[in-house]
Amino acid sequence: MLPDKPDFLIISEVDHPEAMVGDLFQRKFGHPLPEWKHDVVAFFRKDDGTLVPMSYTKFAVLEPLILVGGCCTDGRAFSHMSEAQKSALSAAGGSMAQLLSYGFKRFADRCNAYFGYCGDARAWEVDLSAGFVPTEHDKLLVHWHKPLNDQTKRALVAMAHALGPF
Amino acid sequence: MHISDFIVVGEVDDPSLADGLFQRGYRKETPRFPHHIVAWNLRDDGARLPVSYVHFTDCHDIWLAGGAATDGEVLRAMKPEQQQALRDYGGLMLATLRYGFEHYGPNCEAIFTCCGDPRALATTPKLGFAETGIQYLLVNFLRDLSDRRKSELTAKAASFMPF
Repeated sequence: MLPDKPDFLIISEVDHPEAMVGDLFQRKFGHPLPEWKHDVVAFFRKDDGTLVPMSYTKFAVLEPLILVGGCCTDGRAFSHMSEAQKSALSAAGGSMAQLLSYGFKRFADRCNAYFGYCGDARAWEVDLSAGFVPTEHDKLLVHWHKPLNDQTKRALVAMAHALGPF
Repeated sequence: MHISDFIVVGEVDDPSLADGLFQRGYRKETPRFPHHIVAWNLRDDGARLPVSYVHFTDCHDIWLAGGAATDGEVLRAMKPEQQQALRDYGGLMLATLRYGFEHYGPNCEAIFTCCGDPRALATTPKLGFAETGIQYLLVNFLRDLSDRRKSELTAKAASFMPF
């Protein structure tokens, strides 16, 4: 369970992600943002009211699953923060963990499970802190938010694994 | 220069993003139910600033557009060529309302708005809004409707006033 997010961290689904994180995504992944919805952005709100896009994740609905991908954080955003704000954000688990937690709640009625695919050790730890758990498959994570029987869980994991990296 | 060089309009699900500018106009926070349209000023340093807001309410056969607010301080702080581009376009409220019409118009029979502000009234005809006969209540009927249906929808919208 993550602590509450600090007030200066604003998280919202946006329907115009390109203008918010298009450059960041291109820089991190080497290609433009995929067009699937739903795009969630965590912003750092500066004292003057301007918002700095900080973290991004796409929650792609592939019924009955949601694939959580494209996770990225702009390290440059931290240069806008005071030391106290950095500490507060760190104590709250960080912007990405808060963003994932937000998405898990927001889209809970649109899927039976969330899946992530992660090959980065640091991101893996963040994913676990947000509520993902490992599956038996390499790099594949799942977040269960509904009571499902074991057979259904196995079937959903098999579906996600069959998709390959995402 | 076109406003798309420094403005982007879109829906967000967190209304607090626009609380600052909304509070300056209405002395309260933005509505806490969907749908929130925000015009963002894209700053050169990568920051984004909500500069205009309008709320759309889904009432099934009709949608209500209300709570329009623009941050005049942000507008005045813009570069002269940006201010000119906004004037040429017709203003930020036109951009946010257009966005709502494009996205929600296909889902309903009419969009209503409640407007008594002279400057805002200058914008509403550009979106096809027309008087309903009820003070402050304007409508754009988006389908070919009978007079009876128009009266029904207008009465429904009036029951929500002020919005």
